[in-house]
Amino acid sequence: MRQLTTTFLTCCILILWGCGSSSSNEEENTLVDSGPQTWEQTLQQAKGTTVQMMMWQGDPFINAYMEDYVIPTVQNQFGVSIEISSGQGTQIVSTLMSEQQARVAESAVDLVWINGETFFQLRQIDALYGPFTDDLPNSDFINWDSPFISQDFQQPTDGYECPWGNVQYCLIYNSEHVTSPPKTLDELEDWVKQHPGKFTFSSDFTGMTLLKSMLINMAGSKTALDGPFDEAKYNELSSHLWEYLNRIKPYFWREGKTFPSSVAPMHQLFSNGELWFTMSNNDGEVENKVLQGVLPSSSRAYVLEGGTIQNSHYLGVVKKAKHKAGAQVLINFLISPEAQLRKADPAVWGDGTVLELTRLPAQYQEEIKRLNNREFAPTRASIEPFALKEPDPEYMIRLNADFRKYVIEK
Amino acid sequence: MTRTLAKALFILFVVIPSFLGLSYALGVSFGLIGLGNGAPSFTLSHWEVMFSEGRLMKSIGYTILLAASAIAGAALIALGLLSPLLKRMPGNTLPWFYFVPLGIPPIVAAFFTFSALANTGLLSRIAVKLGMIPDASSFPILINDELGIGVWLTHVMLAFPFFLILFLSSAKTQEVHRLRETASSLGASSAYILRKVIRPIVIRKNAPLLIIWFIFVLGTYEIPLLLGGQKIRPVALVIIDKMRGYSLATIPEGYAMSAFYAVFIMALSFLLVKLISRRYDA
Amino acid sequence: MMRKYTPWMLMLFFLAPILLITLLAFSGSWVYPSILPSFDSDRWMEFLGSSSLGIKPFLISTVLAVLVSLLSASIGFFTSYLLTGKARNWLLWLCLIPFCTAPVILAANFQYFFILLHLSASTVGVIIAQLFIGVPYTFLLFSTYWNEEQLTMDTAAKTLGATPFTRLLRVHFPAAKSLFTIAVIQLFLFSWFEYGMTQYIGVGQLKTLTVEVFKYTQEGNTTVAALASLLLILPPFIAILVIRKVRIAHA
Repeated sequence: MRQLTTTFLTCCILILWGCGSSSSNEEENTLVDSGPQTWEQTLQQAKGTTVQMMMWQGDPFINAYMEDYVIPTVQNQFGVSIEISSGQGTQIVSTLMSEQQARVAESAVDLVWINGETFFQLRQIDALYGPFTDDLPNSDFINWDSPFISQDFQQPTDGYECPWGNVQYCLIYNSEHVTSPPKTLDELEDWVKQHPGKFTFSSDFTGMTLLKSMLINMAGSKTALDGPFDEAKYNELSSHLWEYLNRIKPYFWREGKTFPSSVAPMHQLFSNGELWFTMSNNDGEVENKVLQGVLPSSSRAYVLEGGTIQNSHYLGVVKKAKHKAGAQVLINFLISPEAQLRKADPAVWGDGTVLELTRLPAQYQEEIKRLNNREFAPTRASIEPFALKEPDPEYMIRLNADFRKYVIEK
Repeated sequence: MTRTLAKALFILFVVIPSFLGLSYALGVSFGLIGLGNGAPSFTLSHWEVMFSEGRLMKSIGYTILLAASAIAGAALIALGLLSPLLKRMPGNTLPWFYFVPLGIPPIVAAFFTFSALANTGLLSRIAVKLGMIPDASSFPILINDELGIGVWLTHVMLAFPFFLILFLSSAKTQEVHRLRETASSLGASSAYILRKVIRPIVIRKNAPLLIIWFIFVLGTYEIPLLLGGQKIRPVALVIIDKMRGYSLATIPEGYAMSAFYAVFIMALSFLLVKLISRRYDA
Repeated sequence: MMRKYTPWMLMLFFLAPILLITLLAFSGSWVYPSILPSFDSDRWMEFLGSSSLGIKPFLISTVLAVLVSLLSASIGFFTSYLLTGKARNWLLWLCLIPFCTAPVILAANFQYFFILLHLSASTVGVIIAQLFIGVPYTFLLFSTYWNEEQLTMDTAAKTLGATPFTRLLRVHFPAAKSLFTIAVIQLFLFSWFEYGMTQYIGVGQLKTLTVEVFKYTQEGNTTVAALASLLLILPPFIAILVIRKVRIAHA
């Protein structure tokens, strides 16, 4: 027994010693990001480095865009290598948070692809480097005037993340079965009651985006939820929302007793004909999913008359990143007209650009306009007037918890 | 000397990880390990929230029921197959196909169940072709159903081939057939032999592994995520929801849940180990 | 009559997942209620072309799984042999603890310590993390093995002057070979399919085949999910085919 205790204690001491040694070299990382430098210097510094990028990798099209185009181009043009690892939102937050707790000097990750709710969390724990976007030459092309780009979930980006793409939530219906899709909440209620079992939404981020859109629709004004979280407003609006959903829930898929856990199985149910509606956070996704054969060619996307959430996704540099210069060079390339144009092509990815068309050289303007001819989705310009801003993150946190409490578990 | 080395290895690979994992979860749940910028300070609030919500206990009860019934089902199937297979198994080797299910991870098994048993899955299509049902909506709901039938079936499908191999292996090693010969020369019926001779040996011998599978089923995440219902969910899903939610504030609550759940299962498994060892000694 | 066909029915049942998944992996679309999906090999080529799957993830997975399975099986066998005694129940119970937490949660709990020890995002870190599951598992697996018969043999060898190591290697290992093989096969498969630890402790940078393919298994594209699943299970399946027969007991 004594032997056992001794070995145990020795191991504990070894681990604690590990803690000590890691916190002692905490101060070394300041060299790289000291003082302002020119873009030339950044390029120079980036050369020969390998940037560790963490991003969601669930889509073969997006992966092909990175592997076949971005990685070789950046390597050739700037001498920067890129290693992509798979990971999104919560894993990024938990990794960076654990690194902070362990007081590491250098993070294992340099660059992250994030969405509003992750940005909010990463800013809370101060895990992002910045402001840096003003240093990027191509940031001149970005449409910073758009509140959908310069603000992320009502929070100014302040140069701590760089917009990469911009998308709008849309509902997708099967035009073989649905001739005129419901455009208001009242119409949706009627439609669902007349076609039991054919409609539902997912209980994940995408489903919550629909709930947020519905909440703003109910408020009657596009700007109703602007500004910081308003408890009273939320309570009033959400009680209407739960009432509405519980009223039509019995006519949902599976009588509303369960909801798909994400859009992936929803797309499957849709293409098998079990559902007549599915949805996407990306207005262009239907084009690309039909091309991939995931959705049938009778799929059509549209938005509600009262509007749907438009949202951008961003790139952030990790505060303790080893290769900040390399990360910035990569980001600058990703927001170049060339890379953005290619990304907008539905045959490549079908992701909306964050650049302001009028600021671009003429050739790119033409090209991007050409890509706007969509077959299954409405054009960007036609849904733009129905765009709603992402409300404060607290709205989603509350909606997510309350949806479970007042709708699913009821 | 060798014994000390064995002890050291055991401590290094078994005791320390458990100890560290649990103390980390407890530390976060009591606010002693600060997350983000929050300064560490002791608090019971996360535990209070956890108990006041009441969701966890319901979920633990459901998970235990699900896991226990899945293990029981799988063990019963394996036991049922034991006798016919032993008869046709002269040597001590098993052909390759018995090992195929071991090479199927939970995520793939869940995908298979989904493709086979969903309302628009393979079985439903076959039923329509055979004229047994008019359309997809008349097919019984086995996936994302409230009780978790699809989840249960997938667990049984994963566990029973493994149990079968274990049971066959111990039956062979313990030379059950000789015992059987003895018993049958004494005039026992084959049903009697199965009940009184084979089953006790095989079950008792593999009890620790049945327990570990039970605990493993308790903790699975991917299967109920894809196939389960939303109304009542296994513990792992509830905990991960809290730990990886949209709000940083619920993370310590998730750790409180995971610590509570781990201690609860540890107590349960301790009782189980006691129980089987008593049966060993008897 | 039924009994005669039991092995065949089992074979069909055991192969069913692979058959259905293979079918779906080569499908273009699977419109209800047709039983067979339409065949489309283009998607397959597209996927293989774009997924950056080369021989590398396959090799990484193989090396990792071989190391983890051999190390865990050896350490587990060794410790379970030397630590059978009065405290057996306590040790068994200790071995159950890592399984009392869901693997994904366990990985998140460990991450902090691995970062502290500079083992995060490294191969060694991932191997150690997997041993944290593999060693207790083997210990439990072998705990059923040391019965009176084995211990009598052990005492016999001891009186003849054999050291613990010799006894383990010369006396017990040959007898325990079949169980050892089962342990190695299981641990190999465990390591091969391990996602949570490898992803968290490796920060996604140790790209095993499972890590590379897992990301596609939960997506909306049935063909891609089926293909990814197939890629995942095919190598172990082929290995099992090559082995053909596994000895599960010794006469």
